[in-house]
Amino acid sequence: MSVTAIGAGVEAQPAQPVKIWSPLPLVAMIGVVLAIIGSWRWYQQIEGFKSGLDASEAAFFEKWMPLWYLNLALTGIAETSIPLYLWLTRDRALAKVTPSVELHRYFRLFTLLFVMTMTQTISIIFGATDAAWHQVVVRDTSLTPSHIVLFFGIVPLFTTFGLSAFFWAITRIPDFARNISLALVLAVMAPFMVLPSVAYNEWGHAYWLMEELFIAPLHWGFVALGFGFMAMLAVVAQSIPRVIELVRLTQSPVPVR
Amino acid sequence: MARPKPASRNFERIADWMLLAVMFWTIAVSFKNTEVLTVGDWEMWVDWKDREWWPLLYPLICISFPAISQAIFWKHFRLPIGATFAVMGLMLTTWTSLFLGHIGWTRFPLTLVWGATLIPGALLLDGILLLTANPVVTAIAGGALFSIVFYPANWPILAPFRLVVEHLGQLATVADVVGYTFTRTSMPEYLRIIERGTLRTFGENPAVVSALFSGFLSVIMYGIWFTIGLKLSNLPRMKNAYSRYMGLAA
Repeated sequence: MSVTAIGAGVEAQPAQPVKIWSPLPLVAMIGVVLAIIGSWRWYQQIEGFKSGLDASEAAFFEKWMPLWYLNLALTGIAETSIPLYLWLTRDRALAKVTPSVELHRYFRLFTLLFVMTMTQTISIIFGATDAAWHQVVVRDTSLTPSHIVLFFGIVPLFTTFGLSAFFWAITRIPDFARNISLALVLAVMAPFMVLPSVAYNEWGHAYWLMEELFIAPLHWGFVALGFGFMAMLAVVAQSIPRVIELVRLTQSPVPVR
Repeated sequence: MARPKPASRNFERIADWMLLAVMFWTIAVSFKNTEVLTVGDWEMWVDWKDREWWPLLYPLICISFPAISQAIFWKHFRLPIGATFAVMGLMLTTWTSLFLGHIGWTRFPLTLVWGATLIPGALLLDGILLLTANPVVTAIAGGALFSIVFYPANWPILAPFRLVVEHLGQLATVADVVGYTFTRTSMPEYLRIIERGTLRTFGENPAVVSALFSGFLSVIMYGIWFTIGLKLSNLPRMKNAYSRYMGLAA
């Protein structure tokens, strides 16, 4: 697929070498994610059974509610500011993007998708720890040590990466800007829609099914949404042909590093 | 076609590894999510590992994602590694969540929460696709074997828990006593959906009947999920009405 120029008044791309691939963003994002999630898990281990058993106790308000408020605030800031920033700094001359720049942007997209899917995998692990918590501690409110970390921390974290990947793709990569990929929409929105399903799940457990039977039909909304995660495989399949072409086009004496 | 220069080969290799990782995480999270919420109790608790429902339902549900994974890898890359790829993701998430959650946090013993292995069945599934290069034969032979070998493959781990004990005057197994000891979530005996029905009177060992029936159904399940995997990469694109804001023609 060739890239064609359009209209007048569009800025030309600057003629300077482009560093197509750098591992630094990937390493930095992985480090940040692991540091944040590691600190949450460490806090759960220390304070979970000490102050997290009874939401009506003063210790719970002292140790867990501040973390909830902090997670809510960070979620609100991240999920609004990052997509807005990506939109405001969008490439307004996408038709004139060079193959090197486009390939660089594909690698940045793959970096975001890597970190997003890695965080999703960590989230399902924390989902199992949430199940372990509810096996031994009957639910008193929806704010538990496991929920404050998982549903107000890790799920918004991968949603942030998902929104970043989506807005990066539609504002900087011609194929994704020209036509919205339903696969990318599904891969980003299905994990996000876990949160409304969580609300229904909490209602069901509060008023209907106190026990944490894993296979209860109450949980099957999550199963349906989990199938939506698989749309990411379609995003991979859609990206590969263009990446192969761009790699061929970018043969040059410029070294990788 | 000119041979790509070394710099290009690096880019291809980097893209390979990154996309492989994205696929691994994606399949791992979807597989674990589906498995834990549809057959998770049978997988999680040793006293739920019975002779009727566990050998029937667990491999039947768990053949879904190996089938999807095989479809993706076979269609796009002609690689017969999909089943093992998917099962390794499940094993990673399962054991990590056990040690971080059930064992490390809430202190359930490993004897209660050890997870079953699907690796032998996945190896057979991939091996048959490798040898035959035919998804139909893989569905029939591989799909059936995936479920049939599940019970014997886990027997070395399970057998000690089937030893008989007398508990409060009643006949029980070691697995039952482990389950009675560690109370779970508000219901007595945790509503164990095990050994229900009259299958125990059908023959000497209902596990054989369950395994064979599971194998039969798995052939159909494999076909359905393999087809879903093939269709998955054909998801459509929609015209972007806002593409003009990026300098593209409307």
